[in-house]
Amino acid sequence: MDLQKKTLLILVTFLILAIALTGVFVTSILLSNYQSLEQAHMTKDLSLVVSQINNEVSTLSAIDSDWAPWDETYDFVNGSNPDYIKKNINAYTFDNLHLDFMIITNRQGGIVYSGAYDPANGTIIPVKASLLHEININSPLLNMTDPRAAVSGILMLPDTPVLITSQPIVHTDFSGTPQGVVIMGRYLDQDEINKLAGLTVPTLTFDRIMDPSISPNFLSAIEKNPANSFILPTNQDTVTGYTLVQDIYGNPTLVLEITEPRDLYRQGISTIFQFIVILLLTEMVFGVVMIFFLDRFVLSRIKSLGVQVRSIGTGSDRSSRVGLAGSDELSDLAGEINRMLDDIEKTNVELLKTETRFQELAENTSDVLFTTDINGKVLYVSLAINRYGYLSEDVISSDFTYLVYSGDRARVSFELHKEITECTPMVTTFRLVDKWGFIHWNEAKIAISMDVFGKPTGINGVLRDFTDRKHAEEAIVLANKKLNLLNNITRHDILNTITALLGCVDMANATKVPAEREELLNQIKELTRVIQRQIEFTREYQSVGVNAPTWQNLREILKRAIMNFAGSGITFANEIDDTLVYADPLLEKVFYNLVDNAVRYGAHVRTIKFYYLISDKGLALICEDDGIGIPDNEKERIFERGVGKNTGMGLFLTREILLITGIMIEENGRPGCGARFEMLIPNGAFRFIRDKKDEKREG
Amino acid sequence: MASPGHIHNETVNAMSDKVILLVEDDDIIAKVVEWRLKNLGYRVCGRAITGAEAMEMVVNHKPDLVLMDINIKGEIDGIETARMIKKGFNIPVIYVTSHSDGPTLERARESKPDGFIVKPFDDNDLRVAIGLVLK
Repeated sequence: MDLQKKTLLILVTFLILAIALTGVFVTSILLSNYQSLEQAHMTKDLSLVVSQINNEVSTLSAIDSDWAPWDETYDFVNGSNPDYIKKNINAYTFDNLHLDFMIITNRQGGIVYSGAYDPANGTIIPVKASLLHEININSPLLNMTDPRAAVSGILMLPDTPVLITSQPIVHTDFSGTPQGVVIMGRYLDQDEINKLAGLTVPTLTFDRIMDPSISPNFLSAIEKNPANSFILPTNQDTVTGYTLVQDIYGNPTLVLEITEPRDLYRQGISTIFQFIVILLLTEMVFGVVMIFFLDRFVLSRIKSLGVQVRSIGTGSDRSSRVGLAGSDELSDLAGEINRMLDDIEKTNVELLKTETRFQELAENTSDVLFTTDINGKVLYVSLAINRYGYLSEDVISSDFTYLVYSGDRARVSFELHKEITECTPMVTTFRLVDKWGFIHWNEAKIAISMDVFGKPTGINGVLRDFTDRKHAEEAIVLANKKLNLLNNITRHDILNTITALLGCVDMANATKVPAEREELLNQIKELTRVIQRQIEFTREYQSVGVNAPTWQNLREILKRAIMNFAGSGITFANEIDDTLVYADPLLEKVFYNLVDNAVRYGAHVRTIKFYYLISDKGLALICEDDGIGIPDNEKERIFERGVGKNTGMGLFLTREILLITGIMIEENGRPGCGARFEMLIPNGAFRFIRDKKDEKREG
Repeated sequence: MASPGHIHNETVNAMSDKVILLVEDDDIIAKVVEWRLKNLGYRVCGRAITGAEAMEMVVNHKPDLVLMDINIKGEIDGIETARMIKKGFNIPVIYVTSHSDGPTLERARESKPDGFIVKPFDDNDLRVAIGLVLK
């Protein structure tokens, strides 16, 4: 996820969280406030209704105060104004004063007048018996202790509550002993309730406390409230307020219930919703603006910088540089990156020069340079490995000992393991097998490569081919041995001959017989020639091994040897391809001796054929003639010195010349069918010439 | 230098009773040595060219001395033949050799020969060497 997406995600998450938290807090606080406000409003409405009831009662009491402290009423109760009722009380009076009933008692509580108004008919009807029943001596309505004191309130009748007022009957100036009371009232029926509701709230009801639907707990909850009221939301749309109304006895008698729509609450919800919407829009706008500017001034520039740096890193043009407009920290960073890229480019150029120099050095040296990992797996090998027929790709990733001759592999592995364990440089020699199976002697100089902690990580090594030197050394050692042996043998032979010669001289001197003396002189002459041949052989033999062996073209050498016998009448079949053989420079003498032997002793040789056979032991070079062949008992002896019909040195010399480079010769022809000399050239001592260039190179 | 005839005259009487076996595979050298031994007054009981022949002639002729060439034909060389003669018949053996190389001479010494005559030699060399052994 890139920086832009991360920033956008963080910002959006932050805004959502902020909005959510703000919404939760605002909702809880505002709703709580609105609910409190709703309760206060309902409490106020409840108080208003109660106050209205009280106003009604006060109004009723005021009307009563016109009738009770009035001389005419006073006289009427005392019996001195019998027309009082007729003159003052009729249906119009009730209707005008909005009275439902009027009762006048005497001082003893006896009812002197009672009447009720039937608004439907506009007539006066009798007062309900249940109301009359409430007017007794124990009723506060008959309290006449204070002429100015009125008793008013609600009186609960069995069927309906009534607003009632009572005031003592005194003179108009409140003098005189109260002679009774004037009781007036209105039934608190539905009409009256509707009237009250019209003044306060539309939904107003009264319930009796004794109503079985009202639980005591509910009443207790109302009473415990300091405002003597209880507000309860009915649902999302309405809220109901309850309060207790006391009767004239001071006892709670009615539960006043008003129900109102939850306008405040709904307003609160609406306000909160609007607030959250505004907040959301604001934060969205803020977020978008912030992201826009953050992206414009920071994120997109960082991204652009990253894209440019990546393009430089992955592209081929390392001279490219990053560019970022402005003069802030990011543009400064771009400048620093460019400076760093300059340094890297300079370092890379130097590194490339160094690498090129070392690579040229590694690829142009005749030695094979290589590196391996700690397990011996080849990581790098120089082009010099091509001389062994391998491509670098053939060797890389294979085990180093893959190149080592199987006979040396265990030893080299052991030495390598020891070197890595002991962290010591190593020099070892081993035989390397090229792709054609030929053996090459190599000297390996190996050093351990380590990491910064000194832990071995692999090996670095150089392989130097010393095959030619090795062969030359072996040939020289062999030649020296042969020369020493020859010296001893020749000295022995000459001394033997001299012994015989001196003896013959003494015998010749001693003899008196001319014929014997002549024979001895001839013998002396022959012995002298023997000495001469022995000395001449030493001159020829001393050349063996004197010059280091070289790679010689077998076909060409054979061709030159055969040319000496051009007039012999023998047919030569040279079936040898262009093949290089590592042999003593006297190799031509070998072929000369073989042909010379065939010519001299093969009796009827007509054809001499040269060809070769390849086997796992090496290249078998065959010289085959069709003469009388070699008897079985002579096959070994013919290679001994002095054995033969001429000097007895030819085949001996032939074998010695070949042995210098490890070439074995034997005669394995069938007697009577011709001689067959087989020369086995070991692997590594011959090469087939692939083309003329190779031949020149090897030469 | 004394002539061969002169040497012959001085020694012939004193040594004529001694019998010598010659072991030499070279015909001419054998002929020369035999001639020289006769001149010195010794009797050559025979000439062997191989080790086997030498052993046979030792058995048959019981020579007083064996003149042994180290390089002789056959499967066993002169040194080994001399070793068997000395061990089996206690007859003195003088090597006649042209070898001067270390290993061969060392082998010859180990067989504890009674004398060495190095080729080429003359009558006097033979006389001194044989005289020392047969004295």
